[in-house]
Amino acid sequence: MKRLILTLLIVTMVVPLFAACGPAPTPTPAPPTPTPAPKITKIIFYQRGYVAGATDAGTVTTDKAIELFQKANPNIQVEIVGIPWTAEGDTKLEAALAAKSDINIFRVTSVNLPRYAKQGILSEVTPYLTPEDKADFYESAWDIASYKGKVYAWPLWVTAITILANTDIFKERGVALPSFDKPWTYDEFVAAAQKLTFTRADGTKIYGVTASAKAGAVEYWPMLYIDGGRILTPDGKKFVANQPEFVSALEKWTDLNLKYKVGPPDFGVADQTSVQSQFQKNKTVAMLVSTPGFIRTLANEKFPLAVLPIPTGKLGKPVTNGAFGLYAVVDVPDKDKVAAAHKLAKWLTGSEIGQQISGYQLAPGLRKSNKNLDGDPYFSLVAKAVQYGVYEVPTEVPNEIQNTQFVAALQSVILGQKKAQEAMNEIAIPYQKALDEVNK
Amino acid sequence: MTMAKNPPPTNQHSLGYRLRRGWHRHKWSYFFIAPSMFFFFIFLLYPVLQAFLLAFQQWALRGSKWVGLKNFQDIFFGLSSKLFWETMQHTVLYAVVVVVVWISAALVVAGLLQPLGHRLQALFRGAFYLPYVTSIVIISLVWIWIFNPDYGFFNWLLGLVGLEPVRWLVDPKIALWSVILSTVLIIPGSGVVMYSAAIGAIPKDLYEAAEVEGANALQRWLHITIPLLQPTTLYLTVIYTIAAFQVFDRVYVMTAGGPINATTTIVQLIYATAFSDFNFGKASAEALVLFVIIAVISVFQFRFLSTEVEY
Repeated sequence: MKRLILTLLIVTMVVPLFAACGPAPTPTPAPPTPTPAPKITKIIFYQRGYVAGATDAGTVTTDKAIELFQKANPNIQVEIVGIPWTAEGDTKLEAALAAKSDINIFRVTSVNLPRYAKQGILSEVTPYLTPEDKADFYESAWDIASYKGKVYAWPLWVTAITILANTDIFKERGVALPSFDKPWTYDEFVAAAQKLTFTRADGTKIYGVTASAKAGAVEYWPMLYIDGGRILTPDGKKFVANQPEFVSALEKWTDLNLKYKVGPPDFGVADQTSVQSQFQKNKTVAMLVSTPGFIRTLANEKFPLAVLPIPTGKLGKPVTNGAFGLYAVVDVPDKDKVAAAHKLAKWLTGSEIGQQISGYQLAPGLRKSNKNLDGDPYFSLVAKAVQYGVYEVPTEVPNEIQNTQFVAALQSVILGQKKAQEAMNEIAIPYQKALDEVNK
Repeated sequence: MTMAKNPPPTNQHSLGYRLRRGWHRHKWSYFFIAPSMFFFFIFLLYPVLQAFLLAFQQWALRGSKWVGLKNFQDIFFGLSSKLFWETMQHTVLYAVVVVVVWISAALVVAGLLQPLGHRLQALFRGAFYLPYVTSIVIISLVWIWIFNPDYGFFNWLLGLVGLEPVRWLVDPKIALWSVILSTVLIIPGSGVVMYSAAIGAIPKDLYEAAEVEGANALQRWLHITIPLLQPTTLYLTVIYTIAAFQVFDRVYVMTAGGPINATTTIVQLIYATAFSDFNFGKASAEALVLFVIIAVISVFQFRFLSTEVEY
């Protein structure tokens, strides 16, 4: 046994020696020196209305937009975080900004832009604009995207508010549709709304017109401008909603509810979800004063839809109002992330994206080269309305004044609790005080 | 021979001695409650202290500034002080009506259950307790449907008797009463259970003696049952008052504080100040004011409503 083990050991030691005497192995080429992997910059994109895995137009087009962007920019990775359009979304966004957690680009409202810019949250856009970009955007877009002369957001589009009409109800009641070339006057609008307010044989009540009225989503704004009034002077320094032009328009909107009774019972207090449900699902409202984002949803389900202009008042021409879509980039220490986020913002606000992604353009773009809606039967009309836009300058007046209290003052008039002049005179005091405070 | 020095006498009343003795006796108790205390500190005490400090600051996304009592000045005398005082009125009205109705209803129901057998009592107690474990959000959504001006259940009932529909949650004059109605129509199961147990604990001799003396059922109820339930009544009054002052989810779901802030309660205002206006300093100050108000009311209730009860 011992001899066997000894033999095996000797064999084990000797065999490699013989192997070494064999032909020299072909030298394998040295592996190539690996080129350093390109640096991947990861950015976080907070997108409003985005729900991962959902099939709504906003989510699907956002996914496609990011997919195309990452293909064209393989060294940039984008993670999308969805936040709703409601106050809960605002809270989530504010919490992320306050906690300085990863957030690089987000949809910012013109109301919040001054606050964020003042607090140093946002990265200035101007260094990232090419001469072509500067020439391509409309001048008014820069006014809305700027704070104290510096541009802090990429303008996306303007959500011009129009009237959406259920053409089936119009046919049923024999009411002719107006056009942008021949819009209704206010009196014609009232007459039509009265004809469109009736009770069916089965007891279902149909109402002429409604609009979302909850603070933060007030969509009847354009109706308050039809007599030439506005809330603030164009320089944003003086509150003028207590002037005759604004007051008379407010009375006209109020009369729809209190005098002509063409609105549903929750007229003046309903939120966006309720009024859209009344218009789309229940079909109990003939006309809905609405932002254009709802059009895509209606068109996709082949709703009997027409887009109408806001009726004219003492001003003599149609007006509209709405919000500006803006993308802002957060100023973070990592300048690669800032640059990548600006690149993404430029792509999202460009003209090319609407050509590559069907259904992306939900409102008229703010670039002169953006003709993506020209052939659309509905959005081309919304684009026509943009030229009549009256937009308030964003200010730093606290949200509790310009939103909560001001909307409550409007509601008190619409619900018949106060006269329009009285309510506007009351709110003028704190509003002007707040304006003086931010403008000093 | 050197005598060993006597050791110094141990002072059994010194703090050090008592601490050491306490630790020696209870160290395992502290060990077992340490995890709970850790979570209590991290998730309750620390945030409350932070909120207390925030009440004296002006919060901003990139750092806060100490402003002393400015937030409190804004609340009581500032541009939106009118809304604060209206909110307090709404909250006090809500609390008074709801607490009175709930206490009365729970007492009456518990009294009605008393003569029943054990099984029936258990069945009814379970039935009354069921809404207590149902989400307030679900209940509020159902009430929105009930109050709907076009197809809601209440307006359908009114239509049956030829009355005009009511704009329950739309009319600012009645919206708050609609919210109160939705609250009081659900009898609190906790009150029914507690009163049932308390009534069951009253010795039967007292009732027998009263019956012998010629007292009828109502007199026995008024002069024996209700006075002997005072400790339970005090407890429920305090609990329900605190809950009523803290009402939020019902209001948020049903009306979001509208119309025209007609249903805004103090917690709804705190929420709006914090998460709509992003004024966290002022919101913390409002929360501190609410804390003081509830504390004062609770002390008042204990001081003037408590009584010793002996059988």
